[in-house]
Amino acid sequence: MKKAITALLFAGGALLLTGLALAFLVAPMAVNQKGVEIFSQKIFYFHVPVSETSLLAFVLGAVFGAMFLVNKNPKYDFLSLAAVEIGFVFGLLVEWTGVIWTRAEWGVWWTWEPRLTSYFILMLMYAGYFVLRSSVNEESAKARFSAVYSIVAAVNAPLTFFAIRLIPSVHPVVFDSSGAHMEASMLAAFLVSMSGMLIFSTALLLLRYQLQTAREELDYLKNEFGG
Amino acid sequence: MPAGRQIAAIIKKDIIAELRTKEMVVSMLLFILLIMVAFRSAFGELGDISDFAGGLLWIAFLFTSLLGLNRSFVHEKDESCLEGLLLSPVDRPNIFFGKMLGNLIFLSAVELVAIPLYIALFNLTIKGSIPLFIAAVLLSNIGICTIGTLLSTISINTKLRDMLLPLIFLPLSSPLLIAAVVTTNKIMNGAAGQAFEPAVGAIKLLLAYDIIFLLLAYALYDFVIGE
Amino acid sequence: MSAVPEIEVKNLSKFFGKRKVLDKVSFSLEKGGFISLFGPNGAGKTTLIKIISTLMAPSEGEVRLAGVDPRKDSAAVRARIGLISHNPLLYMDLSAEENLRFYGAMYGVEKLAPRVNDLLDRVELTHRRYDLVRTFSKGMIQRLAIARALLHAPSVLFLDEPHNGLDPHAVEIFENLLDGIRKDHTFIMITHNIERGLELCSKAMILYNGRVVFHHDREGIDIDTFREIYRERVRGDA
Repeated sequence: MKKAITALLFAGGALLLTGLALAFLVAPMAVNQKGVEIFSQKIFYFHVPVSETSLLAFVLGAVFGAMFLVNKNPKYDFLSLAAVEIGFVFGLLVEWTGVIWTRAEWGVWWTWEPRLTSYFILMLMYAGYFVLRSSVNEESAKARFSAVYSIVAAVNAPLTFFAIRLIPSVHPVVFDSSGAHMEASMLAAFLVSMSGMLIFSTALLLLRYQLQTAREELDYLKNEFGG
Repeated sequence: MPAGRQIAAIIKKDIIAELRTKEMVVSMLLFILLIMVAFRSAFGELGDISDFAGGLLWIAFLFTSLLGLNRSFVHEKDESCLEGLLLSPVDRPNIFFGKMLGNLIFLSAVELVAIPLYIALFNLTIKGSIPLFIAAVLLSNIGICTIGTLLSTISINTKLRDMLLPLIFLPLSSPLLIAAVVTTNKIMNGAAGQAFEPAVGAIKLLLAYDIIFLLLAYALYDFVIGE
Repeated sequence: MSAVPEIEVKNLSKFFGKRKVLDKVSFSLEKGGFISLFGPNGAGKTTLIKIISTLMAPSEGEVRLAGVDPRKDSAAVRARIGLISHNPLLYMDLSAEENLRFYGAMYGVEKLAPRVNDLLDRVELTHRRYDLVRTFSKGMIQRLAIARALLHAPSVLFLDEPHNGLDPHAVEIFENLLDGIRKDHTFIMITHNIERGLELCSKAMILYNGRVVFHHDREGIDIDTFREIYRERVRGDA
């Protein structure tokens, strides 16, 4: 397992760096309707992969949660926890890069842009996940409740996205994954960046899973021999 | 075992207990009245709050529902009556429906008093269709009680007990809140045609939310209520 | 001799995380039998009862009640068992009658009204049937709990330290009721009261650290012998 993780980390890291290099050095500067160059669009190569990974991680969290409920094997609980953590951290990155972009583009730190707002609510939902986990001592209950919550939260996410779009007169959608209208070199940078992010985050997930398993093992040994 | 008889018995028991102590309904009503006073103080200068009246109403209802949802399981937990329920041959999802319908009845009863009061106190009118208004309120209530009953079953079994519920309930109920507010606002303002579009979407979202979470709660309740 | 034992437990283990609370517990009890279960606190007695009464799932092993696996047909198993524990499992804000009617509905008891009347009579609570349980004394609450447990005519009864906190009147009523249903009913009783426990049982069992350390028919065991055995098997505990 260790070798696989190291390999993934390196592969992912390498791809990410390549992607970033491509983004800054090879891909042409984006140009807005008025023909003015916008440098801050570059953040798109990072922001979108991060957001897609975050959502994917949350979905995985729910899937692993469901597997735990069916299977009762604690390893699925650890995998679910790792996935939700990755999703949460990456989600924070989404907010952060979004904030930076907004500041660069419009000079304000925050606007109620649909995607940013949706992610904000998503972060609140998953913050609840961690509070829930820490408020249950008994392990089987902790795992069960977390699994159910991860499923409920993941189902809730798309509903939240739809709901936000219902609000009339909210700021127009800016962060769209409609990156398909990009030129070839931009697309290349984007795809490299995206795949790098996915591989890298898989490595992080496995790493976190290992850490959790080791931690449980340590706790058990402490109880057995520590007294 | 006839499910209907069991569900009806649970609802009846909760209603009898509540009619005797009146703990839930009185505190919920008082809470709403206090919120209205707070609103009045905040918006005192404004003559016409009809543009955001719906929003204020649902903030009040959402927070009030927390009071009711918490109480409904406190008795079961405190007197270990939950064990008595679990020992009986009742299917776990039937416990969910019994509790959820009980919560629905209490919330609707409180709203029955609060809404006319609210309209009178703030000089509002429902310019749109009243049956549609009532339907929207009911659909939102069902959503609140479904997700609320599921989550309060979880929260009552944790260290934080009823203090956890707001943390996990409020983010997850965001789509509900948004949809309910959009619909209520539009109906109260008598919006029609193009302007009413978002409300149509919102009602569809409410329906989708209710159906999805009723099914999800049915499937997952076993895991949160047993050991 | 009926072929299928009323209660059968095979290699039952329960872990909380990695902590073993029950370790390969095995025993069986024929219909009409009575096990008195002894052991220090934390030995796993209540956990064992919770698992057999379907409140908890086992981590390993099997439980069968009259040949039925609760994991396959939990409703059927639950309909046949009753539990009397230190928690009365009664709603304080409901009257005695309302409590019984509620549980009657949950258990699908037919002809509920006469049954409720009969049980209230047997536990001598008819005169308080409309009063809220909140106003009852501890002894009355326990008597009502007995009525609740017997409402659906279970064939298996689990008693978790039932004498706890009972006044002599309540003990008398309880013992009379127990006597009345001894035949054809199967019991497992957790108790710390060696005299009463041995008097009532057909088999005695001691649980220590999640393991069965003693399991024997009642015949030939007097109180002193049993005390010796207990001291021996349960290290360092009275």
